[in-house]
Amino acid sequence: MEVIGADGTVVVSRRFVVALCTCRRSRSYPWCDTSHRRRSPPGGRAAGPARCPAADRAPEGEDGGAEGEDGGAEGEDR
Amino acid sequence: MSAPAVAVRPAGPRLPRDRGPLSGAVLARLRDATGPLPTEQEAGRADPYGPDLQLALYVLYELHYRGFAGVRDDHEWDPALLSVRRALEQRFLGALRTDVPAAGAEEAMAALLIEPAGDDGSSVSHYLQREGRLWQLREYAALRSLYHLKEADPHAWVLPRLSGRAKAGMAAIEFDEFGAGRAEGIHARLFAALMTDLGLDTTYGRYVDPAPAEALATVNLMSLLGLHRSLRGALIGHFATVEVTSSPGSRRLAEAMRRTGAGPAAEHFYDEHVEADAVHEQVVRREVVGGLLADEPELEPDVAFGIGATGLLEDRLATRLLGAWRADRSALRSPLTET
Ligand code: FES
Ligand SMILES: [Fe+2]
Ligand SMILES: [Fe+2]
Repeated sequence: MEVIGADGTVVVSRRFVVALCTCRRSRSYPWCDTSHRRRSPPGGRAAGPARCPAADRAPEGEDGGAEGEDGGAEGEDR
Repeated sequence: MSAPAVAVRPAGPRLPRDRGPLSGAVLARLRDATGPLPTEQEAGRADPYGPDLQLALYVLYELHYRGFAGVRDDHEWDPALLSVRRALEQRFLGALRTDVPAAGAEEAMAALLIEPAGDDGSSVSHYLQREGRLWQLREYAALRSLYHLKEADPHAWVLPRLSGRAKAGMAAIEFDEFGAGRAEGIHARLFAALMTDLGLDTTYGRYVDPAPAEALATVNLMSLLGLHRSLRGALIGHFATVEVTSSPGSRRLAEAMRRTGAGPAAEHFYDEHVEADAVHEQVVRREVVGGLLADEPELEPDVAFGIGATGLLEDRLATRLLGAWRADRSALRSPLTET
C-alpha cells in the first residue's frame, strides 16, 4: 500500500497490514513505532492501562496511537 | 526386526556436551547407548531452572525441530524419551506455575504497554544501547541465535489449535515472520545475516554449548508451550509478550548496532523489527488474544501465565547477562573466539 504525506511524499509498504502513526511521535513516520506508549518513571511501573486508541477502539486523534488500515486489524474488529 | 527404514541424519546440528546426569543420560540414548534414562523421581528432584535439566529438555525438544547429526529421526516419538520429556516438563512447568505471580490477562498486557521512561538498570537493550561493546553484542547475538535461527517456528505449532480471528491473525503474523512469501525475507535468515556481520558462525545449534541455562530456559518455554495444545493460551500470552515488547527493544538494539559499527545486516534485523512488530503488536492484541479469549474465555489465566512466565525467564537471563558484563566478564559458559 502507498501512503501519501501532507507534503506529497509517497511511502510504500508491502506488509499485510500497516500501523499508521497518528501521534506524530514516531521516528519511522508515517509508520507507528510504538513511540505513542505511555511512559512510567524509571523503576516504577505506572498503574492503569496504556492508551493506544486504535487498540482500544477509540476514535483517532484523541491522544495519538497506531491505527490499523487497509482491511487490516481495525476493520475486522467490530 | 527388519532393517529400520528410518533415517539417521547424516548431517545436521552436532549434539551438545552434557551438563550433568539427566542431560548425560538423554544424550547417551540419542547416540543409541543402552544405559538407563532418568527416572521420574530424578527429574522431580532436579533444579528446574538449572543447566542439567534445561539442556536435557532442550535436546529433547530439538528432535521436533531439526534433530541432530547421527541421531535417528524417529527418536522424536520414542516413548521412553517422551516420558522423560514429560517428567522434565512437569518439573519446569511446576516451578513456573509456583513462581509466576497470578494476574489477569488484561492487567498483564497493560503492564507490557508501558515503556519505562528511563533505564532502571535491569534492561539488556537499554544497557547495550547506551554502553554495549561489540564483544557484548556478539555474545548477545550468539545466545539469541538459539531462538532466532528458528524464529517463529515454535509458535507455528499453535495454528491448528486456533480458529476464527485468532487463527487468521496468528497466521498473518507468522507469514510476515517467514518472509511474506519471499525466502530472503525470512526473519531467521535476516538474523543469520546479522550473525555474519558480527563474525559469528550461522550453523544451526552452533552456540548451544556456550549458552547458559538461563538462555536455554527462554527457548524451552516456547517449545513447551508450542508443543502442548493444553498450553495454547499460554503460548499466545508468550507470543503477545514478544511482539508487544519487541518494537522499543529493537529500536535500542538497532542503535547499539549502529553505534558499534556492527554492519548493515545487523542494523537491518532490528530496524525491520521496530516497524514489523509495531504492526504485529496491534494484530496480536486485538485479533489473536482478543479472538482467542472471545472463543475460549476460560483461557484467560493461561494467557496471563504465558505473559508472566516469559517475563520471569527473560528477567533471569537479563540478570545473568548484565551481572557478567558489568563485571567485564563473558556471559557465556565459554567466551567466543575472535574472528
Ligand atoms: S508511534 Fe505514533 S501512533 Fe504509534
Ligand atoms: Fe520477527
Ligand atoms: Fe514479530
